[in-house]
Parts: sequence; structure tokens; C-alpha cells
Amino acid sequence: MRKEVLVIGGGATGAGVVRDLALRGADCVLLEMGDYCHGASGGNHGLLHSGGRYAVKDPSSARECAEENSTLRRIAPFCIEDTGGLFASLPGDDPEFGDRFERACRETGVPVEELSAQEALAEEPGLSTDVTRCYRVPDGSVDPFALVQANVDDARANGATVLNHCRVTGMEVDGGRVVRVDYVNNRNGESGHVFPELMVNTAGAWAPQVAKMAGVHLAMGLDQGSMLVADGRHCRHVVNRLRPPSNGDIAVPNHTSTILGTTSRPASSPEDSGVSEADQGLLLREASRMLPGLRTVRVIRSYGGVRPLLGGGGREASRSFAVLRDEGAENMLTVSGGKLTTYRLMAEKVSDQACRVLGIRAACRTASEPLGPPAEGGGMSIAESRLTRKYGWRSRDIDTGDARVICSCEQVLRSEVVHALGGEDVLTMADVMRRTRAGMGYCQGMDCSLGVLELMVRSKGVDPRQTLLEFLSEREKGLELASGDQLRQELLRRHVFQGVYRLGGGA
Amino acid sequence: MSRALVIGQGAAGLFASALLAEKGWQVTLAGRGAPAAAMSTGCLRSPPGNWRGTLLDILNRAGLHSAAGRRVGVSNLGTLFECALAPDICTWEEGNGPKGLSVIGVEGHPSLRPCLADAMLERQGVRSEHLHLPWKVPPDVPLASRFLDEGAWEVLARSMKEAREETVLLPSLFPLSDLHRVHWLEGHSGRKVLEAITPLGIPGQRFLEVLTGHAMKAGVSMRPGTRLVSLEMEGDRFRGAMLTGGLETRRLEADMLVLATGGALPDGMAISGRGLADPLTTFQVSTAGGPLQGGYAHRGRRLLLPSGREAANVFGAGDCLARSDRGYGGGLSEALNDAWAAVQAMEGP
Amino acid sequence: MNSDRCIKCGSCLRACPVLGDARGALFPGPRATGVDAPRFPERADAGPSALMCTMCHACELACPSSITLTKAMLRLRSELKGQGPSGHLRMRENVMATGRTVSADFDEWVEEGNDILYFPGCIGLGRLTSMTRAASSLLTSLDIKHDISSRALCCGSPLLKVGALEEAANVKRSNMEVLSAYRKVVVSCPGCAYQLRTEYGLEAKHMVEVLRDLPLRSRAEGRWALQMPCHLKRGLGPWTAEDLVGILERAGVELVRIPEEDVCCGGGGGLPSGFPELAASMARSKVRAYERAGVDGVITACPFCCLNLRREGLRVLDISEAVSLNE
Repeated sequence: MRKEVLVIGGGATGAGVVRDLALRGADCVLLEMGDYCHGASGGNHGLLHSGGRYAVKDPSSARECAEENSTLRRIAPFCIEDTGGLFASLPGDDPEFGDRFERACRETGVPVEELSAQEALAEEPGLSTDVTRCYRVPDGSVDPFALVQANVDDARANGATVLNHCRVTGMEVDGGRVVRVDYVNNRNGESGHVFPELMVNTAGAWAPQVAKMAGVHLAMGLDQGSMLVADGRHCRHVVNRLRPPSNGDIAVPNHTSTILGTTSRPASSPEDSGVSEADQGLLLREASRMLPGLRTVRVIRSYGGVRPLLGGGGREASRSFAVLRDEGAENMLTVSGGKLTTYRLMAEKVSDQACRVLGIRAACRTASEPLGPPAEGGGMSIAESRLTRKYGWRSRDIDTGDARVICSCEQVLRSEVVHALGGEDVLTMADVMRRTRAGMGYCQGMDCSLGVLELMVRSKGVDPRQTLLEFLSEREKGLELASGDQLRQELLRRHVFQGVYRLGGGA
Repeated sequence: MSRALVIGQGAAGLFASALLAEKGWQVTLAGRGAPAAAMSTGCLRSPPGNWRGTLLDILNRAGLHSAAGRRVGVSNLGTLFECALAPDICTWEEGNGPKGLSVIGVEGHPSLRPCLADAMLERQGVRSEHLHLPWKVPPDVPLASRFLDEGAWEVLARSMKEAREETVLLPSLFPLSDLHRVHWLEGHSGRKVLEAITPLGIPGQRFLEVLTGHAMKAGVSMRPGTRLVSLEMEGDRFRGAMLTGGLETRRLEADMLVLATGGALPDGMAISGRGLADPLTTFQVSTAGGPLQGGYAHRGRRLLLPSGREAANVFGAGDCLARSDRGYGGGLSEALNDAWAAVQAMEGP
Repeated sequence: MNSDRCIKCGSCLRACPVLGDARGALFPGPRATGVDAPRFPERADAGPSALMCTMCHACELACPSSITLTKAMLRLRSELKGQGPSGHLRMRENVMATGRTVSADFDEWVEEGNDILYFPGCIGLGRLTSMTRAASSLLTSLDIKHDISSRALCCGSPLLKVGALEEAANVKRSNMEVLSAYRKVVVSCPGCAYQLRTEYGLEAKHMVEVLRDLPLRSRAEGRWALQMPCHLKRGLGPWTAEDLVGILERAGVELVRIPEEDVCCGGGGGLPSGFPELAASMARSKVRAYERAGVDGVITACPFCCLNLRREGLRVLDISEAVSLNE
């Protein structure tokens, strides 16, 4: 296909770019090798940054976050939970850090307010009673899958072609320009070609690999971060540790669970996202200091993400971003660095540059065009709110007349899965899971996978064995460190799938 | 007469109690009543030992006609299931299986998902088709309750008559008291019934019901709904146990203790972090091989004290014992084997 | 509450006698009410069908994670704030008017200052006065002098089951004034026994515990099966349940044991007043099982079981009607 713009990489940045450009009338296509949010966009703690975490060490990032925080709340309220955020220090933490923090927040435009320990405990009863100082900031909790899907949907509605499960396999470069990009559809093996006028490389941690295909060397740091999914919501706010950025200093309430994060170590490749047992221990220990109720929590899952960082990487690297262009492939713009909260801004900057190159005069509209409705208010019931959080406007299309629940851990209706399977992006069980949350709960799909598979066989005629095995091994990746009741759950899961059905494991 | 206290009302506990009672012991069997066997398929994956005849006898006398050998069944997912001893209604002798299967069930119900099982069977080279019964049943409601209504059996029989194949794969609808329905369905439809091999369903409970009935008939005193709180040891000798149930706590004295409390799954073994521990903090636990293979350390099924000495009169059977070759899904055969071997190792009453 | 221990094995669903009844398909089930509802507020809003539970404890017993499902169900009921089926509303109105869930149809009070009180409970005073008379005369024949106080109100257990916490607290207050004057309280209802022991802290004995070691002979000719009350076996305890069997066997009753004797008859948890068709359907299942066993009738030790099964035409005797003093 001949296109004005080819976007490679369907994380938040890529989805944001294709939406921005589509709204400006560009003819574009996006190729994502896995499902959207395959990389760092799908491996983070879901924090909608207030900027507080960067105010002291990375003021330019903090400024960007502060602005985009309110923009995203305006355009994508459905997938954002207005939890608010707290920064709390405990005995042993640098007592002066609070002052530096407050000053830095004010300087970077991050709204900040100090609370007394009493006020903090009143607002967040689960907080350690040892809390010494506390500040409130406008952190939020965001569902990256819902956010990115909304960008994809809007891009399509404005004429863009967006394809997941399509991996770029090679490029032809001629006279310093990429003239042809080859790709293969992972699901059906079909191959295709794109003849782009301009390419935008938003492949995140894979950006150097994509650049290499165009003959361009891209220096990028890869940094792995670990997270734990703790069962239940153990805090009302996002709770951060009020001390210089370190491991295990954040807890984010997200849907039915609490995400505990995070760590930082160099990653050898984009796939090097594994969580170590030491990481798991550290995250639980540190989070329990802030929220003592977490000491006995059931950890459902561990997962990691590989962050693409500017330059050399490491915890000290800036989380800001850059748009790069190399004369080796002068029609390729590469986005490097960045974070989920500033995706729209990153997309705007690179789209501005792309439009200059293409001669498109339309201005960016992504800061004002909504991606979905609010998920609360207007007399919405809790059930309606839950659906709106996941599907935005599309929650109207779900048949709530059929009360059958397919995933009881997450209370996902059978009709939600039916609805999801109607989408062209949904080809694997994990695709269903990311959109509906079926399989994300405490049984990690033991109960619902066969129900989802049944619906997939009926509507998409998939190979049941391969489809199920793929999902089981995907779930198993995060269960290797299962302990306590989750270990008992894992034993039962394996008894059923490996022991009875002879699927998965080494069996 | 010597008294034996058996803790754990799963496969190992029930089998061991009955064997002990037949040997002349006065047996009390206590337990919470939530064993892993209830979640099992009720079929033995590995060939039984010397106790094969005994077990077949027990099953057949209860009406759950079973056979040993190279047996094959079809799971409620549509995968083929090989085993060594199982009821006739859900398995066939290897090589003597149906050429094709018609799968009948309720769409969206976990008991058996017809279009999914059909798709699975096709890919394993089994000729199959599927039919949906005309009902919507919430997944939490056991399908068997739909069949308390006589009309439901008629609907099923009619559906079976429309089946293309001679053999029909059905969800497990046949608790012990309803096994006669298999004949009824076959008679009314002209088809052969094949019950799907089902974990987390009726077959596991049915198997236990047979063993429970047998234990009761053998004269075992049953104390269901009781939890073992603590043990009284005098050196290496077990003296008595404190059991609690409802609002009551009682002390039971016995001359021998058999622990058949199960592994981590039914809370028989305590899990601390990723490791196992003895919830009674009395015996040695081996953690080699992780939570699946760990359990009470033993010598010939005699449990070991922390000192390394064997307890004089305490035995173990089933998943609560450490076992280096334990795999997933193989629990029943091993539990029964342990029970048999443990009883052989015990003195007479 | 430990509902986060759930491993989705479904054992509770298979143990539930309501889900196992043809009329129980509207009941969300123990997992939805005990595990899902605490996590999902919209599930707790499930409406009256969440109340279709007899509080038989079978789910809790079957749970490998020992989740306190009964407590979770009670908690759900306590959050109802007046919603519920009309039968439950009537029950509360009766309590407000008379202090009992059912108006008393009895006036043979005994207020002689004895140190033992026989407490018939709401059903004993309102629907099964024959049982009350039988129990009282049995106790008298055994030289157990006792009062039957007109001021003893509902023990409060049925009120907790329908979420009427305030009414339960009220009757408890009034009852304590009366009951604390006695050294011992004897009851025919395991629910009363459990309530008086655990909520009131009183020395309350069920008839089975009183009769256990006494010389008795059978009044029940023919072959009899047992309706093992849920709140006797799983509430008070399995040893007391065994004592019921022991009493009857030693008295010479010809007892036929069947596995179905343990299955809930549908008489508890507010089911007969809230969902009478379901309670009747569950009772009919039991009647069919007893018919298959070919017995002349059924002996039980709970007025709710007695009433619910008699309503389906079964011949039922309470323990106090099945035995008498063996001179």
C-alpha cells in the first residue's frame, strides 16, 4: 500500500501519532508487531503522573507531566481514575527532602499541598501510622490498554489503517530514503508492503532494531522495571515514597488490584523484562512499609517492562523525549525516550514535524478532541461505570441484558467478550484479556479461559489448542514467583491444564 | 481393640481407614471434608498396585462399574485422556474406541463446551460434531440441577437421537444416585453415552462418595467437618489429638495416627512464602522439588520428627507426603497406593 | 474475612443444596455472594435472589481454603437495609409487634422460679406447639423441672439471617433480663442454641445434649430415617450430631441411615418465609429420598426442619416426640 505516513510501533506514542496525523487528514498506516501496548506501554504501573516523581531530579519531565496530566483528564476521562496521589515519608527518610520536593513542584507547575500526618491518615487510612511528612499531588491511575485502544479507534474513524500482529521484516533504502517497508501478519503468515512518504519510528525499545533496518544506528538505553499485582485495592490514592527516587516507592490502585512498583536495572534486550525473586521481595517489603496492610496481601502476578531511555539509560537518565532524524534515512523520524503520561505531547511534537515535511497545514487537535466520556456521574450505576472505564463510548454496544458472567474474578460479562471479539484487532486470548480484563484476576484465567476460548472458536474459528497454549504460557510468565495462596491457585491451575488436559508446561 | 485415628477425608484417608477397619482396628476418620480428590477426575492415571482388585471390587459393588488397563476417555475440553483405571461410562479400552463423537451440552456452561470440544477433537483426528441443548444455564449453577426436572432428560434423549454419531459425549450428569440414567438415555436414544472426563465436577465427588460408603460399611467412625488443632506427642509416640468442629472441641486418644491431610492445595500442608511447612509444627517437612513434591519426610511412610527419628506410631499417606516423582494430575493413584503401602507397613491392631 | 483465599475450585457451588435444586437457578451461589460480592459493590446489590440461602454451611465445609462464606453471607444480609422479600418484612413486623417472628399460639406458661428454663423459640410457640408440649413433658418425666417463660422472645437468630440487626439487638436486650435469671436454658432448636451460646454467652443446651446419657426408650414404631439438622451438625458440632444418633439407637429406634440425611431440607435461613417455593422444592427432594429408602417417617431435632418437611406431607417426629423415659 502507498501511504503518506507509516508509523511503526503501536504503543501509546505510536497510537497517539497515528491519531494525531489522521485528525490532520494525513493518510496513514500503523504497524504493531504484537498487540498494542506490547512494550513499555503495557508493562508499567499505570500511573498518570502529576510530575511529582520528577520534580526534583528531572524538572523538564515534571513540567511536561504536569501539563499533560490535566490534558489527558480532559480528553480521556473514562480510562483515568481520579485517585489523587500522596507522597509520604517514613522514619529514616531524609527529613529535608520534603522541602526540596515542595519547592521543585512549585517551580515545575506540579500542584502540591502539604498535609499533616493526621490529615494524611484520615485520607488514607491504610497508610503507616509512622508517616512523618506528606504531600498531596494530582496523580491518577490510568488503564493504558483502554487509552491506547481509544486512540486506535479514533485514528480508524478518521481514515487511518491500523494493524496489530503485523511485524516489519525489512526495508528498502534508496538514496537516503526508506522507499519500501515489508511486513508479515503473524497470525496468518500473509505478507505486505508499504511505500511510505514518511516513516515514524515509535517502536520504543525496538526502535534501534527498526532503525537498523533503515541502515541507521540509534543509541538507546534499555532499563527494566519490575512490578507486582497485589489482589484488592489497598489504597485510595496513588501512594509514593517521599524520598529521592528509589526502588519500591510507589503503589497504584488499578481496577481491582494494587500495582506495586518499581525497580530499575539495565536490560540486555527489549525482551529482557523478567522479574527476579529479589525484586519481588524488595517490592513487597518496601510497599508494606508505606501500607502495612500489604504484608499479608496475595500477590497475583509479577511483570516487568523495558523502558526505552534517551542516551545511556539508567535511573539517572531523563524521562523526557526527543525526535531524531538521521541523514541515512531522511524520511524517518524516530521518537526516543518518553513516558505514558506525555504520549500525546510526544505525538504532537513528532506529528508537527511530520506535517511540516509532508506540507500538511492542519494544526494538532488531540488536546481538545475527546477520546471518551467520563466514567462517573450522570446517575451511572457502578456496573455502568465499570463498563465505561473499559470501553469508553463503546460500552453502549454491550448487551447488558445477558447477565451471565464469564470471568468472576473481574466480573466480566460474557457479552463484553462477545463485543470485544467483534473488533478486528482481537485475534488472541490475550487480546481479549487486555480489552476486557478477563483473565487478569486472581485465578489468572483458570476459570474463564475455556469460556473465552469457546467464544473465540465460535466467532473466529481459531485453532483451540494453539490459542489456549499461547495464553497459558503468557499467563505462566508472571506466575513463576507465585507464593502463598497464589501458589495454591497455580497448583490447581496446573493440575487442571497440565494434569488433566495435558496442555502447557513441559507436558 | 486398638484405636486408629486417621485425619483427612480424601482418597488416601478413606482408603486407609477402610483397610485398617477390615484388619480389625477401631478407626475414627476425621477431616474437614474439602479434599483435593473432590476436584479430581475420579480416574487413576497410573496403573494400580496390588490393591487393584480391592478397588475395582469397591467401585463395582457401589454401582460405579470400572475397569483397569489401558483406558482412554475424552475430557470436557475435548482432549484425549489416557488412564489406567476408570469408570466404564467415561472410558474405553485402548484401540476399542468410538469412530466418531457427537458432543452435546449447554453452550457457555463449564461442564462441557460443545463447539470447543468439537474443534479440539477434529484437530486430534477424531470425527466429531456438536449440538447445543436449548437452555441458558448460568456457569455457577451445576448442570445436574437442571436435570431434576424429568422433562430435561427427555430433551436430552431427543437431542441424542439427532446425533449423527453412534457415541455421544455428554457433560458429567451422573452422580452415584443417577448412574441408572445412562441406561435410560441409551435406551431412549439408541446411542451410546460417553461421560466427559471432568475435573472440578461430579466425577471426583462421586469417587469419594464410593470410598466414603465403603469406609462406613467397614465400620469406620466418621467425624466430618472437624479440624485437627494439635497433637500430643510423648517423645516419639503419638498419644492424642485435639479436634474441633462447630462449637465443639474434643480430645481423641488413639494408638496410631495416620495423616492423610493432603498437600498445599487443600490446605493440608501450610505454605509459607514459596515453601511448605507442617501446620502442626510437629514433623519434618521436606521442601525438595518445591510445593508440588514437598511434604512430610518419611521412611517407609513413617513420619519423621525434627530430630530425624521416626515417629513410633505416626504414618502418612497421599499428597501430604514428600514425593520426588509427583507430577500434576496424578494424585489419585499415588494417594491410594500410599494408603495401601502404609497399612501394610503398620502392625496389626 | 478471608475471601481473598479463593482458588476458584467451585467446590462450594457443588455443595450448595440451593444451586442443586431445580428452583435454585436464580441464586447467585456461595461464590458470588461470599467471594465476589465483597469485592464488587454492584454484586452486593444483587437484590433478593442473593438471599436464597439456607445458611446450611455446606459451602464453608467444602471450601479447601476455609473461607468463612457463612459470615460473608450474614454480612451481605446485614447490609440490606430493609430490602428483601415480603415474607422477611412480615417477620420483622411480627417482631416489632410481638417480639417473636411468629405470633405465639401457646399459653401453658410455667413461671415457678425453677433454675432451668425451657425455651421453645418462635416456631415452638407459634407453629409446633406439639413439640413444645412433648419436650416439656419429657423433661418433666426425667425430673428436670423447668420454667416456660411468657417473656422469652425470639432469640434473634432468624433476625440476623434477614439482616434485621437492630431488631435482633432489641430482643437480645429484653431476653437477657429474663434468661440471665436461669442457671441453664434448654432449647429444641439448634439455631437458638447456637445463638444463645455465641451471642448471649449463656449456658444453652439443646435437647440432644440433655438427653444424651439418660435412660430412654423408643416411641417410634417402624423404620425411621434421620433429618440431620444443618445447625446441629455444622453449627453446634459433629459430636452432638452423633449423640442424636446414639440416643435413638440406644432407645431402640430402628434407624435407617442414608447419605441424603445430611442434605439441607430448605427450612433455614429465612427461606420458608422469603422464598416458600424454593423451600418447598428442597423439602420435596428430601421427601423423595426418604421415600426411596422406604421408611415410615423421619426423626429430627430442629423445629424448622420438622415444619418444612411436614408441609410436604412427610411424617416427622422431633426427638422429644420419638423417645420417652425408660422406667
